[in-house]
Amino acid sequence: MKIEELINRPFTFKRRDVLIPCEFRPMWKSCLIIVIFGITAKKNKCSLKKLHTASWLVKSDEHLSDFIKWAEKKVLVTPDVRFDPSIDKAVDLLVGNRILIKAEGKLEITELGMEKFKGIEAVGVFVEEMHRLNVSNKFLSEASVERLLRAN
Amino acid sequence: MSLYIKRLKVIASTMDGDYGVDIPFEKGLFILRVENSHGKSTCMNAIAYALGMEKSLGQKNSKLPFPPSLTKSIDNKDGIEIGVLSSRVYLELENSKGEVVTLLRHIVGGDGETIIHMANGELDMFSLNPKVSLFLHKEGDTTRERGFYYWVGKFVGWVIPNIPLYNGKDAPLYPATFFPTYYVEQKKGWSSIQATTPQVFNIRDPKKRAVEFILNLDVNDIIIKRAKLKTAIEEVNTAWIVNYKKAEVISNRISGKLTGLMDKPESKFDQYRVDFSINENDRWESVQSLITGLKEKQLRMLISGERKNEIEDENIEVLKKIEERQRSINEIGEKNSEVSSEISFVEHQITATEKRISSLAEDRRKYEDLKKVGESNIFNGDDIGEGNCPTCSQSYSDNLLDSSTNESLMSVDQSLNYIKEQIKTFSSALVNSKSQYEYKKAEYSKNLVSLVELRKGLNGLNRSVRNTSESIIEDKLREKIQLENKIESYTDAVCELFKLRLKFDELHTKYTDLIAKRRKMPESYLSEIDNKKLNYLQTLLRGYLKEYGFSSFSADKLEISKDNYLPTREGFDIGFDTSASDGVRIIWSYLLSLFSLSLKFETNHPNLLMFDEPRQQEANKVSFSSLLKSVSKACGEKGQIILATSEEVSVLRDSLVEEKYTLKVFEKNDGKILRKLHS
Repeated sequence: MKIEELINRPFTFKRRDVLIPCEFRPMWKSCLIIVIFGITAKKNKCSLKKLHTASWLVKSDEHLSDFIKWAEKKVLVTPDVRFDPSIDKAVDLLVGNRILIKAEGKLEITELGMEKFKGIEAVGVFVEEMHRLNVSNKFLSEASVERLLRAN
Repeated sequence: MSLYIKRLKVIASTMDGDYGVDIPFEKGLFILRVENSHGKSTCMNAIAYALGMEKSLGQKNSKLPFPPSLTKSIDNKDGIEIGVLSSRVYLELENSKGEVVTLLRHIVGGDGETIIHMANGELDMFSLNPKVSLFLHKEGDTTRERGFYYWVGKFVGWVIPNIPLYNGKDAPLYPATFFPTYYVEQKKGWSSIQATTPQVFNIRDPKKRAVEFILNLDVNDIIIKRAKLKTAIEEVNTAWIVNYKKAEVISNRISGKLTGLMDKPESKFDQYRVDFSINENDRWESVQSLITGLKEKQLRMLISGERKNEIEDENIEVLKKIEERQRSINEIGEKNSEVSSEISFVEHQITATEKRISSLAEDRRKYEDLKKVGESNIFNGDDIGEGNCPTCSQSYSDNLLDSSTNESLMSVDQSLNYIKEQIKTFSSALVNSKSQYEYKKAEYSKNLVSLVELRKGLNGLNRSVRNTSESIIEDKLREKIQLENKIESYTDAVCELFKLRLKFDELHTKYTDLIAKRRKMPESYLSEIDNKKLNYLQTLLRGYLKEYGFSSFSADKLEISKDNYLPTREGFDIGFDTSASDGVRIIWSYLLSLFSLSLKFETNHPNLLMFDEPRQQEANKVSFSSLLKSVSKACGEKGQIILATSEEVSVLRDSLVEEKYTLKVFEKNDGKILRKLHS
């Protein structure tokens, strides 16, 4: 086939659907936040800073081990916690749905939210994330999060 | 198999003497009636504590499950605080063989954290009988003779199975894991079935494993059989890898590349295809054919050596040879630097591909989770799944990073398929890169060896450039020796490979046998008797629920899931769409069904059930006396059900007319349950 023949024909472009990482799906992120509250919240409350730290923590085993080594004072290097802007958007969505409420500068999970958490637990998903949170839970106090972020 | 609680004694020693409580229990239905906040839960928790099960009480930290009256100070009759010097709990138990033992565990001021003392015989004789110290919460407490959980298992008659952990290893099932199948704690125990199951032991699906054990499902056996098969296959795999490494060492020795053999056993294997290839003149040739070629060359050399004894113009000959060698050294050197840069490129490619595959696998896991969440009814009726803003109802895209974009995104299913395809593609690219890497490595080391050889020869020629005739003879000789050596090392390698081939063949036969066995294992983990047990459990549960006035929906719609053995409705876990009081009814009925099942089938249930009624504000949602109907019947002669409640005595008596039971009442007027003991 000659090149002229190709060019002289009419042609169209088709826009393909785009793949995005699952983390950026609102539903996935919302579930993650509910799981974080379900496991780590004290009296159902949790600060935004702690939420961000926990979300960074469950991203990979390296993050988890970096954090635990720091918390157990085995290393002096403070891990770099990255804040994920999509968390804030998902929080807004959850607040809009009355799964979270903003109270006294912190976020609080409602009874509806805790019901959702039990639902997520029962379906048997987010296993890795829950495991990482369970392992790190005893180090995830508001005070230690504050110390971690101040050191950065 | 049974466990029967005969007597509980809790003691707090103070300057003012001993305070505490002493409760003799009876078989059958036993009701402990105590006013709210008067020490009901203290007694129930003391039983759990004496049995070393405090981790199953739903507490997040390792705090003692007791009020200050047992840990700090206690009020006397006149309301004056007296400091607690030490406190402890005694528990008298009996098993199905009629053996009676007493346990002592210190609460404050002693070794209670890690030691439980045990003596044969009744509580009153405890101080006289010889005691054994059993340790707990330390490595070996489920496996060693002096481990407390090991002892509990032996005493009750449990054969504790090994179960898989998160880290891929396996360990004995901690008795604390299945404690919530026969004990309901007051504060958290009523939120769902087995709500207080501890998560700290790294056990995969602890609740599921607990029910499997309590019902003595064959699933356990099948899991163990599968695990054994898996270990056997792993052993074969390891032996295969060891031999593969040996073969690789041999191939490295002759600068070759192993062909016709994978680094792990596969279904197809032909021992005659296993061979070494060697890069000779830019072609990869089999070592077998190389040996033949080399032998021919050797023969030719011998013949030409005999024919040509006179050497003409030796000097020119030597110089020519030097020139020739120098040229080949340069050529090979150049080639090798090319190969080396190719190797580092392939290495980089391998790392990058591996990284990509692992991140794709991670994303796939997340999408699978998302799909499951979407299929469940957790977010039914919420705006989160709808893509509409809950405040202004405007639609937003399914991408948190840019919610206003009009870009069309893949659906969850499309994404999953796409990711799976990507993983497939990258994995096959990885296999290619790895084999390319192996070839390049072999080529590189082969070139290095020839460089060394050439340089040696060149040195010899240079040194004796004047003494030409000798040097030519020496050169010929060296060539001859090299040839001989090469033939010898190649033949050796072939001999060794021959032995290895036989080993590989043997391993492969073993491997195919094991794989065939694994294929023959039943698809479902549940055996016929397991299905019978689960069906009966379902019948029992429905029966109890109807009796107790379960009203959220028809009890006949409930089914026991074959997946997690919990009650489900149309495949979905219940607990979210029932009323709070029905939640309590379900837990009560489910645990009672597990208990009753042991009367008809052989199970591991200790025939003991302990309920601590919820706190008052939650308790009024459901009348516990109504739940008592049929409990004493279920209990029969065999087991023991202990209920701690604050229900009025008259109500209890009315609801249990004509039933067998024991009622122990602590009157409100007599104050709290921990009172001064009169010795």
